[in-house]
Amino acid sequence: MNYVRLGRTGLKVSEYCIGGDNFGGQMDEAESLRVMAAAFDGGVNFIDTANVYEEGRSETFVGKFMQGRRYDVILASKGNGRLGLGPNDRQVSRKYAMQAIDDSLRRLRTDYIDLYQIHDFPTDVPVDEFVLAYSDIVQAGKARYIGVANFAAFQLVEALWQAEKLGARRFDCLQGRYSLLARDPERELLPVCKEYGVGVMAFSPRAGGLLLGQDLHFKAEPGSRFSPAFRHYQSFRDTYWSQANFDVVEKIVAIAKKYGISMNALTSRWVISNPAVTVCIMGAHTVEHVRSNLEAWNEDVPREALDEATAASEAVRTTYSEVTSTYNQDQISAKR
Amino acid sequence: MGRTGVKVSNLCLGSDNFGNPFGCNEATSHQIMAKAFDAGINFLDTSDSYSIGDSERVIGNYFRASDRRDQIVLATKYRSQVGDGINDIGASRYHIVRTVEASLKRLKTDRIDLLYCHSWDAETPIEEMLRAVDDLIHQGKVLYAGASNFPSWVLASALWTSDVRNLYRFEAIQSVFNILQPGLAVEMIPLAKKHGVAVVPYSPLASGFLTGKHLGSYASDSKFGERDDSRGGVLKRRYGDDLRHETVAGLVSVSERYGEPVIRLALQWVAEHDGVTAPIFGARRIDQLDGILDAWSRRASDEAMAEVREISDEFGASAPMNYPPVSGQAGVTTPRAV
Repeated sequence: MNYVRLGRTGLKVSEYCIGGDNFGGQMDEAESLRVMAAAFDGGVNFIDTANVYEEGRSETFVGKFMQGRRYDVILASKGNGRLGLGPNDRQVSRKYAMQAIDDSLRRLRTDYIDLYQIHDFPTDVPVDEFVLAYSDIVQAGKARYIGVANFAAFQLVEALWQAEKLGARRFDCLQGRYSLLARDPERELLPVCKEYGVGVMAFSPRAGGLLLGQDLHFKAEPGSRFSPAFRHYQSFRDTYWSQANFDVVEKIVAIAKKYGISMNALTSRWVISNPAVTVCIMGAHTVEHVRSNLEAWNEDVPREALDEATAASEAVRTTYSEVTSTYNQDQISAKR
Repeated sequence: MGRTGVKVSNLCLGSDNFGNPFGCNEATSHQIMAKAFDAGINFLDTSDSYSIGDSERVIGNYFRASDRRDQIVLATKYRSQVGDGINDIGASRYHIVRTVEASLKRLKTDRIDLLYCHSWDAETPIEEMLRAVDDLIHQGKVLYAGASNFPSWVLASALWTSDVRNLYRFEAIQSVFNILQPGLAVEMIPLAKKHGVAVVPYSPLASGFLTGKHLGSYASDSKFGERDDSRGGVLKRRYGDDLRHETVAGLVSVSERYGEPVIRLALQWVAEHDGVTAPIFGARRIDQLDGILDAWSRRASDEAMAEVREISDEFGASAPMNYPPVSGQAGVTTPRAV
């Protein structure tokens, strides 16, 4: 496992980050704990969760996992999403931010988060308000570093601008969707992060499993992200299910076969091989998934295979992927 | 214009045809300017690079022979290749100062009202470019600064630098925007609107493709004919696929049913986008200018425009994301070796 600096910061994280949005959803507590333990056995030290994941259950399970090994875990969480029906129960105002961080810390059973992120750009809040609120969270010792998720490139710049102007702590990491089927970040997001030394956490590197060659041609396998049993399946279908994407995946399947490598290795290495990308966030819903992810992570992937995959996805390279969250702000998705 | 106090007409005359072998000669260029200004247009756009400086020369000669210079908001640009030297291109202080001095001579005027950076120069620090333009503004050679073809994040970075360093900031952004290239609306227009930056879209008619005249075959004397071939077929590649042909055919059908010229529908689609200041149009013949002025003389009905927006939304849903333009993508990263 490689450990890399998170953007320009001094913090070292594993290139493979465990995505926690399945903890308490497709996985119960026992399986969640086994998944985290298996990943850490493989050298992973980085977990990403959020206050909205499974109404707080994800944070609760991560909190249990961290008991007795808090310092060895690089813990990332996020705030945003509806806390309740009140007017201040959504959007990251200073009031919301201060409530959300304390709620997350309580569930996580810790007194600090290593990387605390804003989940989606808060459209109804002035940039200086959320910049100062997050900066104060760092200064209060409740977070070590701060970051953003699902921001447009210019919104990240606006946040860095306000931080410099106000002498506040700045956002040192951006989390966004990036894969062979979601290359929109190459237009603006990856260049801006490179320019400012902002780390990039790529989520859905395998497009919810589609880039493993599964769920093609509008047929969802049981237990997959595209199957109606999964609560956010519609969002995955809207994002990825198109004939153009299926055609690209079939070409990539042929490339993996030609070089005798797994789809898992080819598609996740492709994401991390971009110099602007810092870490891949990899989900799993069984211990077997984690083991095969770790195996894939250690496979040798020839440069030629990556180049051919790049060329194969050219047909969908400029498909615009809207910067929106899976989490509907009208529904209560987070807990106080 | 944006948050500034200067007033511009909501239609801007472009001049990349002036003095161009594929465009129009000096006499026709002068007629086009005279007629456009008579019609109330006061916003004129050129560049140090158009027709290798001849566009600016033609405009300078027109101003010398008329008394109109002080009625016009004159915009030009720097950054493109204008000579063989290593520094005859870019947004360095060295090049900006020289090319602006050359533009002033060709334009036969003391000042440039709006000076755009033609596209982002990733090899020059933003602060160097902004300080050079800031100094030209203090010297009175330039009144306002603008940017063109920039990625949204670079415009945001420039506004940041101007803010914290107390420099004159970009007050206008000029970029491609039309029904077939709608990418500007995704990030740039919201950014510009939020910060009071004027949006000046070029190619509102997609170089003429949105007139519908290229549906059967490309007219050889048009921008899609020899001129495009001489540039390696850029326009044909950009607009000439089935999806775009179908979209234009749909617009032609709306045009026929409502009795509205296609160019009215296409121009109005651009101009009525919230946040847009003034689309730029070009003409190389008087009858083309007449067509634009006629299209601009009244609005198409809301019903017709609703159908136009339906067609453009359908196109936008399956069209590739095309902003920033390729020339502005110097910062795009490609995968490295493992």
